[in-house]
Amino acid sequence: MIRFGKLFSVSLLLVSLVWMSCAPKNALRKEVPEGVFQVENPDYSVSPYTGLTRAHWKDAALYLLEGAFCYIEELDDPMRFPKQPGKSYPQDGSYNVTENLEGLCRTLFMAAPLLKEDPELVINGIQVGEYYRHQMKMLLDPDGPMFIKHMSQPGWISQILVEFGALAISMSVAPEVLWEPFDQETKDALAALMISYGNGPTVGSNWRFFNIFVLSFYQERGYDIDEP
Amino acid sequence: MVEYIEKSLDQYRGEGWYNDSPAYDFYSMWSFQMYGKLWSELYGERHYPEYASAFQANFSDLSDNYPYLLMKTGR
Repeated sequence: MIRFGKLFSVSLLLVSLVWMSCAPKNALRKEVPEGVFQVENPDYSVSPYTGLTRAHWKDAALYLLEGAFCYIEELDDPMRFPKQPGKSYPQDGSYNVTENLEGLCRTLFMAAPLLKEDPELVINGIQVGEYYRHQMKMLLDPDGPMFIKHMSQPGWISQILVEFGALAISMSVAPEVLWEPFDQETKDALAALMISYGNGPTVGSNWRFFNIFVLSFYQERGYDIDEP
Repeated sequence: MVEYIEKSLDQYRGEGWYNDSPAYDFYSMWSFQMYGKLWSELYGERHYPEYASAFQANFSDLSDNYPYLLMKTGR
């Protein structure tokens, strides 16, 4: 049985805690303004240094997601956020596929544990589970902005592998929301796409885990992977 | 996949530390240790218990030294 409490904390640790609120860019940060996340009722018997409990991590995830979803008006909108000049990429003013995929997969790290407990979660008027499923299906649409090509053979390593590793983790945490609702055709197409990267080239470092997570997810669901 | 799992475990050097080809850095903790334990709980314990045990044991080794890298102030 999956010990979901641990997974929840771990999943949140994966997230870059970038403040994504819609507040004015020049808002003062020295004092925590009203509306900015704060730890209410810390429990130092649980976490001696921070007072953070599991409930606080959930609150933090929801807070950040609310910031992210204020840029989403309809299901087709990708997770793209305002830029920090000189810091954010891409710096040529145009958006690219990798940025869209990162926005999808990194915010999903926060959403997946919440969806596990509340599959009908709604933020900013958007049904969160439906949004992510829609975006995942868009990865398969060759005419859409989210389309990802299969890994070519022999292929080159790319950030897409990293993001698919992240996506596989979220799908593993909440498959009842992020996998099972798909029809068989979509499942098979997603599997073929992600497995092409899972079986593709990797970096001889921690990157191997991204292959491992993709292949483990699909192996458990009966798909052929490159298993010796 | 098994090859990737074995190669990841081969990067373990002891006392809680993995070598991330070639550096010893934060990736030892937030990648190898975290992903290793996460994978073990999601899949390894059911399908590859020996590998899961290895990741778990490597994680347990952290307690002897990793907490002492950080001051009470967080530095």
